[in-house]
Amino acid sequence: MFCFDTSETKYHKVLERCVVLAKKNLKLPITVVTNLDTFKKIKPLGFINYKFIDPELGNTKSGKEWNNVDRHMAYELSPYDTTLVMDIDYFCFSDNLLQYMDTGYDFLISKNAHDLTNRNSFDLRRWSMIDMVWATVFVFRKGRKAKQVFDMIKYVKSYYSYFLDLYRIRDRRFRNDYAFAMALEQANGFISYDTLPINLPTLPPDCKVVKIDDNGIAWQYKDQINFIQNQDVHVLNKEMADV
Amino acid sequence: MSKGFLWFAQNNDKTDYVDLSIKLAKSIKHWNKENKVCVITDDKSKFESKHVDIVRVLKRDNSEDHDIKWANEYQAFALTPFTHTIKLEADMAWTTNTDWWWNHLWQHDLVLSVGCRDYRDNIIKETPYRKLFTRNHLPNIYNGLMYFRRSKKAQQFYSIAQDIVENWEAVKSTMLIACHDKYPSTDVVFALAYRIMDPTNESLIDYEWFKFIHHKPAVNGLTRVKDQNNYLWPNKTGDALYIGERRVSRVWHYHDKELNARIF
Repeated sequence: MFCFDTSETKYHKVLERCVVLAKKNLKLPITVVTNLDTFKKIKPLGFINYKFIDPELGNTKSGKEWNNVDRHMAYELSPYDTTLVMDIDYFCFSDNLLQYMDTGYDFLISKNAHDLTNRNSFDLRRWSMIDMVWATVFVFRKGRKAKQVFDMIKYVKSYYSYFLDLYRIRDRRFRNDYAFAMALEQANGFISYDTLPINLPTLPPDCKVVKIDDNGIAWQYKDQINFIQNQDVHVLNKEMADV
Repeated sequence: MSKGFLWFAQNNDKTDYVDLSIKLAKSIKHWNKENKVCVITDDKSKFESKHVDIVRVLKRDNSEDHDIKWANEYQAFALTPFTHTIKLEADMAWTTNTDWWWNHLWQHDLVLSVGCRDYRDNIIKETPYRKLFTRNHLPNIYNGLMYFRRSKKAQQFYSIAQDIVENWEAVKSTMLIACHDKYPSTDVVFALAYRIMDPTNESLIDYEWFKFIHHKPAVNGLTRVKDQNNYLWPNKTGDALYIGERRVSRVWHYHDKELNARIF
């Protein structure tokens, strides 16, 4: 997991919730990549590993600081043979992801997200020539192929604006989702690549999280309150840190 | 026992199908060891090419005065020189070796491609181009890629197709709902023939590998794009054919004849 606080968002609070759920449901050893400033604010979370790096700054999202550029270092930073890389805003209310930790695949990532409000708001086909992947959750097994993919991600990152033009991607910010998609496309010889057979259950940013407990999450969308249980959820509204 | 590829090439005012045929034959010979090719043509389009093994000239041209030359395709069974025939359309290109297909195909009498693929290799079952098929409960088959062997079943199929073509006016007004095709379009004729033979599709073989990439905007999910060729920019680098972000390795029905001049 990667976690860096910004001046606007207390990501360490999101991490705290995420780690508790991951420990409970996945029961995997956890390594958090963070910086010292963020680390100092994280409450004691039991036995987990920390790796310290200085995040690459400069990227923004809606005018706010967005420290998301370091995901390409997951291969080098991971101490594990098989690694599940997960956004800290992905809450594991189930052990579903465990089944992908022991497959014959070297690199698996999800291509689809399921909008939990049923508005199909993640159909991004028209905004680029390639399918976007969701770098929210991916699994890799250390070896030649995974290394090639990560090397390619680094290459894509180095020439990101060129690749944005090549694949006619509208979003000009650096997004891991596109960087990974482009790298996988390139590294796999421009043919299909292996993906996680799941649609990531995702809560759009306009849904306000009102409650989180050990089993599920409740949110408000317009004048409605909804609740989901025993189902992993990717929460895009970062204000949930204060819930 | 012979096996080979066969298609029709009758030039019209707009398209030089002979040129397309030579290029298709060349691409088949480039990729396949089993690569005998027979092209059926008419008197006006007669040609010779080192890439085409057999050129047969239609004795009876049912589409002589048609703008679109669809009305002869039922003659494929009678005219093929092969025991095992894969029937194609001229505006296609081979992008990979398919010799292994024969091992599967020749176990059957008739295999049609059911549905098609987009350039990203997804199987496409429904398109806006096939409303007539849905309305008439016709099987979603494509004559652009089909196999038949010299057999009673294939003979019966082509015989029904002949009856449909020769009675097209009556068929389209009495048997089909909302069919306004002036000429007997081969996909509709073959689909109807198949439905008459096998109304419940009980024997319809649907091999997932026996489908071509249909280069039409709605198949590719690009109806919002003004010019899909400009958007996807199909191009060939060495042996590899790229469409959009993908290297494709299936039979490509490029459909748009402008691409023939540009790519091959």
